[in-house]
Amino acid sequence: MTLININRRSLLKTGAAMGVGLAAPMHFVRGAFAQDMSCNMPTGDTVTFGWNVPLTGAYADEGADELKAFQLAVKHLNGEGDGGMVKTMKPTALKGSGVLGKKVAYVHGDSQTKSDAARDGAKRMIERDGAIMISGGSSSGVAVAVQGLCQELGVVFMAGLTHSNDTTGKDKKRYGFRHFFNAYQSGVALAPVIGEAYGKDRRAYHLTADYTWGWTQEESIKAATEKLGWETVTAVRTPLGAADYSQYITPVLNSGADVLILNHYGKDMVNSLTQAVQFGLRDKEVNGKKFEIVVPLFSELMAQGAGDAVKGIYGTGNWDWKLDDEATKRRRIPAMSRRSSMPMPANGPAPSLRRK
Amino acid sequence: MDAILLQILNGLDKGGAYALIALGLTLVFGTLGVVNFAHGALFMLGAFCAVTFNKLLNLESIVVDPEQTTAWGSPLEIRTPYVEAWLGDFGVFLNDYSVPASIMLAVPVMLFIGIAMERGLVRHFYKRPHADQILVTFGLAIVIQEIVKHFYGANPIPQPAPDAFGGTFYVGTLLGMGQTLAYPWWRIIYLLFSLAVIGAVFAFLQLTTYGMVVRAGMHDRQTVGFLGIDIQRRFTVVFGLAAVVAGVAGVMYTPILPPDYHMGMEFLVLSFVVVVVGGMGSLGGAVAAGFLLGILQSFASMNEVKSLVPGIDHIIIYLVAVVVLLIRPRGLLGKKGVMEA
Repeated sequence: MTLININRRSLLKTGAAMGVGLAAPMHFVRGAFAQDMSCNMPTGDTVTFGWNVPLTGAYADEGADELKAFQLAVKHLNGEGDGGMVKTMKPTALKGSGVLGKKVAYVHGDSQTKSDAARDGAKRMIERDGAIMISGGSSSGVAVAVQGLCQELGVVFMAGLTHSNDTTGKDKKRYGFRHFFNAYQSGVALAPVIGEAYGKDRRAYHLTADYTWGWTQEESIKAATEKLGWETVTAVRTPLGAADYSQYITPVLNSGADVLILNHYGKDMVNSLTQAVQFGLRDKEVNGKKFEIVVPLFSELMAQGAGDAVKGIYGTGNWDWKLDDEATKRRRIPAMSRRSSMPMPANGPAPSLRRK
Repeated sequence: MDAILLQILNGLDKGGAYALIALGLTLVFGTLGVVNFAHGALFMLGAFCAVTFNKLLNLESIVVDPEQTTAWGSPLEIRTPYVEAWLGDFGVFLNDYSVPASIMLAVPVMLFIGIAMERGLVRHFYKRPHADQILVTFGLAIVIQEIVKHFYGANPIPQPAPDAFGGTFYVGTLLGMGQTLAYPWWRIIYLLFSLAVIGAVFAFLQLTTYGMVVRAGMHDRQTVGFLGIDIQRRFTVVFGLAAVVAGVAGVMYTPILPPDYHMGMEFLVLSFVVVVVGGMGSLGGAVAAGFLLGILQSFASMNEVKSLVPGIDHIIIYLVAVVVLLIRPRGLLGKKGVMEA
């Protein structure tokens, strides 16, 4: 048996040594944490934002519009023009003198709607140009990839056009934010409206783009419509980028469904909707009711692509510059006097329900 | 039963488009020995001939009527397309039928583009390896796409079918099955059109002296040259003809698929698989494989099939290509000696 002899002096010594030992890592961590939180801390009188938008590829038109909207926002933040929406925000710390007294500058890159190109562009803007924040994009895949990079580098990422439920929240990225609404919100916003328009006793057939966004939208819309009392006949996954949807549309005709829900976006939606209308779905009567098509998410550009086929179709879209409220008017009027066209709604900050 | 018949129709329709593109590809390969990756871009250019023609027909005069106002209180603008003002009812008719009418524009334009492409670029690559030909034509396709995107944007531009063919037709009435098998009118027109074009190309090659010389040249170019025939010039014309076939296929496809600058690439890869399955250089093989793969793709997309083998609709075409190439390495109707050293 060993007797441990502890006196007051040795206890104090040990205690002090342990205290220093425990505190030392905190000292280093605190420094690292401060640096991490302030990656690209602006030291001059400007602060740089990075706009990472698709300027080539299938979403080039959306990207050009996104860039237009970002440029307009920078002008307003810096107090140029009439200040736009900055004047209608309450409460706000923005005074039209930039951000915290520093003028806003920006750089932009072409994300090409490709994850690797988007990551390269964001990296360049952060490391070379000193961007303190990255925003933009046109697909949930790109948003997830760029968000991961921004998380590693400690830079704020504001996701652009992404509608997937999984973009934010799921992976718990502290630097990731979104202004675009998600599929869950589309379901919640759309269900009461289509329930009122088409009734509570409906049988829905889903055609879904076979990737993350399509799956989350299908899940959200299914949940929202089934809560209404609708029945889901079946949900069919279609390959991303299929040009011809005839082989997926003809089975709808004899399935007993009276609503077709198209979980497609971009060109996929333009093609599937155009072709579904050509197959006469909207002229049909099933179960004693008029057959209807619902497109839970679409944008103004997609509506243009689909032409007459989109008339009378319910769906959700982002903030629309044609809304009649004070903030919208503020943003609309100066922009319209300066440019021949307004940025499309996919690039604004709030969801709205729409029927073309 | 209905479902199967509808899928056969879908397959025939899809196959028609594949066959038309593959026919041009294999025609160029058979005559000039060039693997033309810009062929999909020619299909897209044809579609944009329809877009351009439609835009031209819709150039309009704007007259402001101060006495009438819109709902917003601004003076009413009365817009009249020039063709309708000048030609009256015929102008209205022409506007309605702008897609088929734009074939008139597409044929000379595509013939010119095809010949210019062959004379200006492709002929310099006849004696180069196939890999070089693929690279240069693929690069050309990207250049053409970007030019189109510059002028027309990246967003699809819808082209309506003529009103008379906008609805659906009950194919069941032809088969004595009553009001069943509703199928879009325009897709039926497209199927008939593709059959007519394929028939015309075969008739040209089989029944005319010009076609006979071309076929002889495909078989033995040197001997035909010894006979004092300028076979090179005829092959240039064949290249132009292939461009026209791809172009008119693109024109007629616009009401089904709103055209955008990238549409050619989507068809190109599938059409290459069609050519390989049919047998390199075999015209009949390309047509047969086009229809075969179209129908198989349609069947693979049926829910019953997909529930048995999930994802089969994504891979069926490539799966068939692998099986065909294992059993018949030269393709369905391929001949010995083509692309073989």
